[in-house]
Amino acid sequence: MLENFMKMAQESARQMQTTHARLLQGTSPALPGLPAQALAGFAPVQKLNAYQGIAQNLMAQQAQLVQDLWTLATQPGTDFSLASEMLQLQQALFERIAKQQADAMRELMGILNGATHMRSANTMSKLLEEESDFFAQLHALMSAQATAYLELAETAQVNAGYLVARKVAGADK
Amino acid sequence: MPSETPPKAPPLPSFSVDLTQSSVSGLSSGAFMTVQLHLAHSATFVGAGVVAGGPYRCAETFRGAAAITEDAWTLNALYMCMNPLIPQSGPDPAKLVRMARQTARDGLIDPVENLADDKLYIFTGSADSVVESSVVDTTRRFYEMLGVRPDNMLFDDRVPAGHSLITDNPEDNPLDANRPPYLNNGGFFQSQTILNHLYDGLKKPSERLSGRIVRFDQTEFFDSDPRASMSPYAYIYVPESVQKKGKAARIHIALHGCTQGYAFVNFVNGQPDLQNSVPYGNRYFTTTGYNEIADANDMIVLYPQAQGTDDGKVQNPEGCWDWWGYSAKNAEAPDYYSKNAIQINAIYRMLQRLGGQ
Repeated sequence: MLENFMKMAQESARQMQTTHARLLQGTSPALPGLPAQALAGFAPVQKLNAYQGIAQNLMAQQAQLVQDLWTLATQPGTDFSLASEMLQLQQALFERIAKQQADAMRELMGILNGATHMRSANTMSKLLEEESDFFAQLHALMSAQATAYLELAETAQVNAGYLVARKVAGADK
Repeated sequence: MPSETPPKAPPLPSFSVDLTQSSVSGLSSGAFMTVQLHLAHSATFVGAGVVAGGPYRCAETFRGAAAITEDAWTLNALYMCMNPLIPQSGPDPAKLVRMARQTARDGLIDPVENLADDKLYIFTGSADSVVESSVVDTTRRFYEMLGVRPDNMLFDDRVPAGHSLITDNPEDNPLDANRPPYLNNGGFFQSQTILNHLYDGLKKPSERLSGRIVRFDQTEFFDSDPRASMSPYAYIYVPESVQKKGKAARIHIALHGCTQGYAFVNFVNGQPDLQNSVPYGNRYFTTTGYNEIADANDMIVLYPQAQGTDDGKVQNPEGCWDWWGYSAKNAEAPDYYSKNAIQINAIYRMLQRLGGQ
């Protein structure tokens, strides 16, 4: 029954993507001299489609995880090994977050240190370049941190999903 | 990712070669590819060296990671085959062994029975934060389950190295670093440790090279198909004894890791940074110590070259070898692991050309 449910969810996701693709074909403007591929990345609907596709995947994953946990909870006899693995997973996640934060703080201190010891600038253009570099470094750090946190979130989701799916596969046998 | 079309290099020459004595080694994505190449053509290889690489078809461990197959394999590669939170959420060697056996039964790779008497060198640095040691240990267990004799296998997880091929070069990174060019100075050449394990009775490395590095046209081996994500050129090292005196040679294939190909260009804000080419593109085939030991032992070293592509069709900005399916024609049924894979086929054709076949 769960398999059927998942197939239905996947089919639904595919249908939505096909609909989006058709929508795109109808809305992407054709500009002379610009290849369609170059334009595609800038088309707002295309971006929306990409975000929606990823969001759908995440939701389908969460739904699967909840279903699997429900299946395990309703099995006769409780498997405590999963709870133990989940605790280990959580601990590993906290350790990585802590390390990430420490690394980010160290980098931030380095940037701020550099800013307080502004190098000499003989021209206005050089001064502007140094100012811009400072903000570019801050932006790059923030961007890297945000990406790293998302990667950790994805890691946790995939790892937890895998552990639960393995238990469900074992329980179904 | 060069922006211009480069001039053609001469074709790969042939030599007097005993192809049945070939071997392969690699770092990181080159190590994943080493395992794939080893299994695909196990009848040809006598052994393999795996430095910081995971087991065969690792990226297909958990199909449920995403609704779309291609996404699932990418998530597997990133979060289970490189950096799982705990060992239990990493790859399952028993499952991958079953997949390997089935792949062999389907005729997509050589029979796995060929592996039994092969030599294996498997290494993971205890300070590696890119590919977890638990994943590399899975590679060891995978080979054991496939029947490789334990006394033929050298597994080393005790060196406090970061993600790297270890060298004896003061120019390279400190031993525990985890950053490009992923060549770390540990006071010895790991390439030579690998070859000494794979072949008995090798002579000491030459102090001065007698032969030369030969650039050749790599495109003919993948029919210039951009899907391959391979560079226009690749390289071989040929000792003088093989080139001029015609001595029978053995071939070792050395596969670089991500960002280590000669043509690697960093992507900054999503664009190739052509103004700031990385300064280490040719280090892997010149300074890693393979050539010195090959020189003393009538051995040709083949250095195939992958390169970065990130054009919306092929997502491989770091120029990694394909071990999760980016080069597949059909994303639903990727073939990156089989004899038919575009990269494996290309490298094998290079090997055959070197042997005059």
